[in-house]
Amino acid sequence: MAGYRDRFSGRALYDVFNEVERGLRSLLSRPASLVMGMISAPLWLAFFVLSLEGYGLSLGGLTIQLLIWISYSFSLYSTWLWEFGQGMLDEHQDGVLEYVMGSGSSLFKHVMGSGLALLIYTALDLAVILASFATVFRVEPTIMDPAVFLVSLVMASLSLLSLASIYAIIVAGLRSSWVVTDVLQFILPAVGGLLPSEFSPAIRLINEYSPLAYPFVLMRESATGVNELGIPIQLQLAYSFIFTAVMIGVAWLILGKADERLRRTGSLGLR
Amino acid sequence: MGAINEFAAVMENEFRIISREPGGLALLVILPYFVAGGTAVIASFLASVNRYRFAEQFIGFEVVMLSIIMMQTGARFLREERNGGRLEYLLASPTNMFIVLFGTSLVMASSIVAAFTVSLMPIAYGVYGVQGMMRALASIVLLMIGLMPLYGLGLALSGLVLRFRDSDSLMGLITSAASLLSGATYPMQALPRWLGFLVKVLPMHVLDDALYYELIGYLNAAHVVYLALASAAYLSLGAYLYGRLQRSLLRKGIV
Repeated sequence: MAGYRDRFSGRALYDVFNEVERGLRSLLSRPASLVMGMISAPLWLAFFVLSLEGYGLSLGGLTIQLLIWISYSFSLYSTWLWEFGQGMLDEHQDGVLEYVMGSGSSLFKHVMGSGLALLIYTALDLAVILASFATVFRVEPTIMDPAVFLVSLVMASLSLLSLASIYAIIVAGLRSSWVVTDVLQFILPAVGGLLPSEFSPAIRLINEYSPLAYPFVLMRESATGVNELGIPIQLQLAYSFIFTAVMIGVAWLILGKADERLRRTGSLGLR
Repeated sequence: MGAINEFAAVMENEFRIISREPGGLALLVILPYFVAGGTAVIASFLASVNRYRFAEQFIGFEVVMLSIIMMQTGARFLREERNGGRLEYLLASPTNMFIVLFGTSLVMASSIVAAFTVSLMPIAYGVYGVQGMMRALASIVLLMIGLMPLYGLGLALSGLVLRFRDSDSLMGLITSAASLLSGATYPMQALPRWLGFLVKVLPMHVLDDALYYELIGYLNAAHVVYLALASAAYLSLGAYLYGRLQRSLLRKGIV
């Protein structure tokens, strides 16, 4: 029995690594596209910061540091919802998911593998955003606690990976799912730790009670060295870990159901 | 009469296609509230934001969004026709491609102008009262004229977009650059001089100024003249470059 479990978990890991490799190959197969995506990020960033100046703000110091993390958090939400979530729906339309499953893999392994490949892209995105801020605004971005930062970044990405896959399955049958994605990309960050708690008591309340917010607040706290919520970092890490684990569990359940339905009826979704 | 019938048929077909996605039009109405509202919320934590400034920024973000849509319209249409295998038939048909392109662009422009007007009404009324609403309605004509240079610019870029295998990424880059160079949501003094020059050459900032001044009742004739001249210039450029693209496609085939 132990040998069977070892072989099963070994095979599962092997499949996930295959999917990671496939995802990386897919990402790197279009180097021009990757470069254009990287160049777009600082342009959007400059537009966002200049638009804030349009409200009569003059930006400097800690404000710019906070804006770095607001920008990156929004970029994470956007990337996972569009590239990953909508990407899954596009893969189904193009018939890619059927080939993946026909090769012996499962929806969950495919999603995890592709997601881990995209995580590398989001890390590159971070490097570009930090470099852009340094160049354009002559601000040196700080990361006070790199270890906690890295852990929170991974947890934020894994929770968004799970959220985006659950979302994709739920909206799979909709004709204009991109409309819902467009709206969600503003609502989710608002309740998901996009804004620093220092901005207002209402924001602090949201960040304290929204489990989605914890990894993002941790990311900002480990970068700026400011404990926004006044809760010990270890406790925040524990909350983030529990939330991420729950999200992965729910994603595994829902993707399992969707996998069965896809094999039986050829349709993605739960209905 | 033949060309007019063809034009009407193209427009009718395009209206049918657009009406199949009412969600997209609804999104055009509510998205500016998310974008302008979101940035206003962030700005309000750092400085005082009054309703006049919000109205000005709202129009600016609207102009950016509509400009991006109009710039992408021509290239997107050609790309979708090519990917669907219909471009060869269109080029081979006796209908002049300019009739098809301008027919589809007019329908797109009308739809997004309607969405803009519906979106702006509550802001215009809330900030400037009934007079503001009337002036917002009057700005429809201004917007129709102001979007034409952007369509021309998009048509000029369509050759580049068609040549790229991954044209979505190229459109994304063009979109981000156009937003930054719009000059619609920030003071131009914030930019270096050479970038400021680029912003002045593009029509977005004048369109934004024209719409804002129309809303507050201080529209300058110079704005309208500029937009009309820009329409003529950019549409001519777009038509010329598209003509070259079409000759190239007919000679070398569609790849």
